[in-house]
Amino acid sequence: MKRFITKISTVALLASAGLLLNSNAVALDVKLTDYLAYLEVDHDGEQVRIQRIQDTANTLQDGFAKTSRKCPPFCIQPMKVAPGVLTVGEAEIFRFMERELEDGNGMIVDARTPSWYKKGTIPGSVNIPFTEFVGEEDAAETVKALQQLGGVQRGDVSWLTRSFEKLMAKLGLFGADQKTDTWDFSNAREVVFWCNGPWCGQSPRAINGLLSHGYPAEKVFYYRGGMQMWKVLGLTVVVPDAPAAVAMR
Amino acid sequence: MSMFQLKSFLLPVKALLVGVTLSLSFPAPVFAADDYLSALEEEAGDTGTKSTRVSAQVSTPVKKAKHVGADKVLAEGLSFDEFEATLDSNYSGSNFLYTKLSRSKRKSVYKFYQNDNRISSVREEIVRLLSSG
Repeated sequence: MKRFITKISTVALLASAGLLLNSNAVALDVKLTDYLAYLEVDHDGEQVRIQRIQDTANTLQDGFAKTSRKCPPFCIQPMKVAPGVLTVGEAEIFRFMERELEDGNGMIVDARTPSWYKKGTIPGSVNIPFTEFVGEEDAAETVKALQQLGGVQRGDVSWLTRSFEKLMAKLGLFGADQKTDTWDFSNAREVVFWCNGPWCGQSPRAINGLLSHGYPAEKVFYYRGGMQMWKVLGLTVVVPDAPAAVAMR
Repeated sequence: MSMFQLKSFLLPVKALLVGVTLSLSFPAPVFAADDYLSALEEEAGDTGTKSTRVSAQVSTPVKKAKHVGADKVLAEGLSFDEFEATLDSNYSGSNFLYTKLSRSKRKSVYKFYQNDNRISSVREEIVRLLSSG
């Protein structure tokens, strides 16, 4: 009898283990939100799972554990970075990843300089340093950056057409407010900008540069928490160009 | 004081006032762009040098690049006791199966872990040994 029970319990054990392995559905104690355990995003052609560090005793040990940096230049940023630009948190980022990023209508931009980006970035982000957005409108790097976001350069637009567009823009018709003399942002993507966190001015600079080129503010979002909050929450960070694509905690 | 003397006295005062007004109207940038960039670079370097403990975790190999963030890994270089303690505290499901193994098989799992520290691989090895009788 004892042997029989042992056999049954072993079979049950293996079956449950098999289920665990097959479904790869190991329950996470530390979920992203109350409704979402993890999510997967495409990062540079590879699927990356975003989840939180499961060790509840884990603490930050790197540079992001620092409390103080000189201000200026590392000053605390306001919650509202520019008129019409919505500030978002992590839960909104997750939803953005699942919807706009997934269907190609959205982008997440790591607006930091390359030296920061190389140390680790939020999965699904594209690195376009803020310096690309603050230059002259016809500067090569600015043109490239605006095109990456879905902006289309316009050819010669007649005075009559522009006058009509400006009138329509005032009336809020035909998406005329999405066009400038030189750019058409009608099909431009919704973009989330982020940098190192509340003490970082790189993404606010990128946003204000972008808006100065006529990019519609309602398509721009500011993730103020940035890498600082991302790391505080133990979320997956990808180190670009690391040998074998290393995921950092 | 003649009119001429008064004018010549007022001239530098006017110039001073204009200068002060202009300097107030066009304040120098609080932090010039070049300074900002160099401060950023300096701070980025600083972040790197202070991340020694994290780099140890960072350099943990994730063997399959397909799901780079998906595979959880056990810390490298754990002793046998630490390995068992980690399983016990962080991976109770795997540990439950692990405790069903004989002492020699547990040692085999530990050896396996030394080559591949992904928890998914370690769990597979535990199940394999458990089913091998």
